[in-house]
Amino acid sequence: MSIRLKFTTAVGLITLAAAVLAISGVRIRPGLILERPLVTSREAADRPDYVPGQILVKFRPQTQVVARAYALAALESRAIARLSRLDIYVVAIPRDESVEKMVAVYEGNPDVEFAEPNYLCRIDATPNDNLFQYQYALSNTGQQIGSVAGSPRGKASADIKAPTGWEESKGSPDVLIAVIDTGVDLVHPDLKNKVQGSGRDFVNNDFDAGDDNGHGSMVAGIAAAETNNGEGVAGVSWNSKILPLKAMNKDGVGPTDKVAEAIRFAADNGARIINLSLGSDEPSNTLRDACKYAFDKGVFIAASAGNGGAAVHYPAAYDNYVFAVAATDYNDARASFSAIGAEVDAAAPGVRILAPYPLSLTSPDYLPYAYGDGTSFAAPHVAGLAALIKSLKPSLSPTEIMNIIRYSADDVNADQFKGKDEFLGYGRINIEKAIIPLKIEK
Amino acid sequence: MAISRRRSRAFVAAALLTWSLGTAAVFGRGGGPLLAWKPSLGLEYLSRTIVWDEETRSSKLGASFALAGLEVQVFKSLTVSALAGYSFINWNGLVFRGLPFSIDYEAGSSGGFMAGGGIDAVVFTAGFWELGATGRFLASLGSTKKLTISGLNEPGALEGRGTWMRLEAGPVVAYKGFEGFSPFLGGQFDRLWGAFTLDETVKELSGSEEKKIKGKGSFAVIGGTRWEPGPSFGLNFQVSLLPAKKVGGGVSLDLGASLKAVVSF
Repeated sequence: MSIRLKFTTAVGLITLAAAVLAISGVRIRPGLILERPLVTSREAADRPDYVPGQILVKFRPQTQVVARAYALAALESRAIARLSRLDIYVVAIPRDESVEKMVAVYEGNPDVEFAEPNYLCRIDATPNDNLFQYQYALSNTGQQIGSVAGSPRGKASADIKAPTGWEESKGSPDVLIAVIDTGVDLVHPDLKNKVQGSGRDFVNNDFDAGDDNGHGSMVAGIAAAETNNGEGVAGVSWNSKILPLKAMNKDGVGPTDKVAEAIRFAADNGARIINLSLGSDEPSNTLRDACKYAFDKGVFIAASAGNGGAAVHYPAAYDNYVFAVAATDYNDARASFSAIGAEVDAAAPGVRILAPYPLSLTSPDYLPYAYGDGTSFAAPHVAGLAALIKSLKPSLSPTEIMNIIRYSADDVNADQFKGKDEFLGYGRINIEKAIIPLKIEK
Repeated sequence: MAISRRRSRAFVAAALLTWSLGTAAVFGRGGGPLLAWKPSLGLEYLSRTIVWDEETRSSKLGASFALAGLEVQVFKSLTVSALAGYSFINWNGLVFRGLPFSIDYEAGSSGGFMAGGGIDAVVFTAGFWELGATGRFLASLGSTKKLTISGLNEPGALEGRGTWMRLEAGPVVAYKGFEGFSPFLGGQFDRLWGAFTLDETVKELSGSEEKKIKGKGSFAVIGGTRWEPGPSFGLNFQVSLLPAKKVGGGVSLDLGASLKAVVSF
C-alpha cells in the first residue's frame, strides 16, 4: 500500500501530461500511459482507460471486404491489426478525432456490429513482500503466515482443503493452464519445468513470454507451481502444464486487443483452462467475444473479480463465459478490496498469498518468492481447482466445471449472507468437496 | 500368459456347464417319465466380491433373498424349476467418478424382484453314492432407490438402479446311506454379472454413470445336506465357498448360504 501511495503523485503528473499532449494534438504513443505503477481499478477509475488513437471495430459477417475497406477509408481510419477468428479490427483513428466520437460514428454505420474503445486491462494486485513458504491458502492450521515477527496467524481450516483433494487428483499434464498476464519466469525453479515452451509474448510480438513484472509468475505458481520437488511452494494442480501468454507489459497494463488475442491463442493452442488475473472497469465486446470464443471451445476461464471494492470488472463480469473470483483472507473473511456484484461466483484466498517471484526481479538476499494481495491471487486457486476437475473428468464442459466449483464452495459468510451473495458468491472454494467422492449413506 | 490362463478357465467353465446341463438333460431321462410337482420356499444369503472399472476396483455385493419355486420332476432323474422372489441387495462400496460430483455409494440395501430357473439331474448312482448335475440361473431385476445429496450449496438428488444375474452349474456327489438325510459336496462354475446405474442431479448439473460389475472368481465349492423327515417334505441346507483374488493382492473367500424347504405332491 505504501508503494502505491508513493506513486500517486507520479500517476497524477503522467495523467496530466497525457491530457496536455492530447489537447495540443500530439499523438499519445501507446505505452506512455502505461508507465504508471500498478494501481487498483478504483484508482484507475478517473482517467480514460483505453488506448488513445485506437478503437476496436467488428463488421457484420455479411459485410464484404471492399465495403469494410471503404468504411474505414471514408473515416480516414486504417486497420492496424485484425484479431483472427474473432473478426475484429484494431483501427487507428485520425489523430484529431476523439475515441468517443469515432466509436459513435462507427456505431452509426449499419455494416458495423459494434465499435468500442480499446480498453486497458490491469492486473489486480502488487506483490508486497519477499518471504518464504507459508501457504495458508492451501492448508491453514492457524500457523503464523510469515517468518517476520508480527506476521499474522490465520484461522485453522480457513483454506481450500488442498491436501485432502490431492489424494484424489494432483492434476494431469494434459490439462494446460494458460496464464494470460505479465508473462512467466521461464527459469524459476518452481516454474521452469511446468511451462510449455516459452509461450507467446503479445506485448513484444515474439515467442518469449518471460515475466518483467512478477505478477504473472506468481499467478502461474499459485495455479500450478512444480510441487513435491523439495523447494519453493506447491501449486494447486501439481501436474498441469502452464502456457505463458504475455499480454500485459512490465507495468501490468495491456490493451484489450492483446488480451483478446491471447485468449483466442490459448483456446486454439490446447489450453483447457485460462486464468485472467486482470480486468478493466469498462465492458468490451472484443473481450466478451474472445471469452465466448474460448468458452465455446470448451475452455474454462477464471478471472479476478477486481480490487476496487466496487463493481466486478471485466472480463470477470461476463457471467456466461467467465468464472468471477472474489478474495478471502486467512480467517475466511472477505478481503476489503474484493469487488462486489452478482457476477461473483465464488471466492478463494487472496490475502498474503505466497508465490514464486521472478529471479531477475529478486534481490540477492531474498528467495525468489513473494507475498501478494488481490483477487489476482484468488483467481489462480480456482484455475488450479478447475484443472484438477478437468484432469479427473475431461468430458465436463466449462459450465459444468463452474457449477461444481460453485456448489461445492463453503458458504463462509453464511452467518451474514446465507446462500449465494454478491460478496463471496457461493463461498470460498473447497477442493475436497469438489473432487473427493461424496459419501452417500443411508 | 494371462490370456492363456483365461482361456483355460473359460474352457473348464464351458466344459462344466456343458457337462452339467447336457448330462442333466440327457441322462436325466433315464428313469422314464414321472411327473411330480414340488413347491419350494427358500432363503439365501450371498456375499460376493465384485470388480468394476475394468477390474481395477472391487467391493462386496451383499444380497439376501427369498425365493419361491415350483419344481417339476419331468423324469425320475430330472427336475426343472421356475423361481421368483424378492431380494435386498447391498451395493455399498461402489464409487462413481464419472458423475459431476463423484459419489461413494454407501446407501445400504435396496429391494427388487427376482426371477430364474434351475435344472437338477441324477446322472448315475453307485451303491449309496449318487452323481448329479445341477444348474441355476437367477436374475435380480432391481428397483430404483432415491437418495439426496447433502452438504452442497444446492440440493442434489440421486437415483440408483441395480440389476445382477448369476449362473451356477456343476456336478454334485451325494451320499444316500443315511436315514433321512443326505450330505452332498460339489464344485460349481459360478458366474455373477450385472450393472448399477446412478443418476445425479444438482440444480443444472446432471449426469448418469453405469457401473458394470462382475463377480470375482468363477469356481465355488458347495456342500450341504438334504434332510427329509417325511416322504413329502424336505429341507435343503447348502453353503458355498468361493475363493477370489483381491484387486490389491491376496485372496478373499466369498460365502453363500441357502436354506430351502421343498414339499412334494
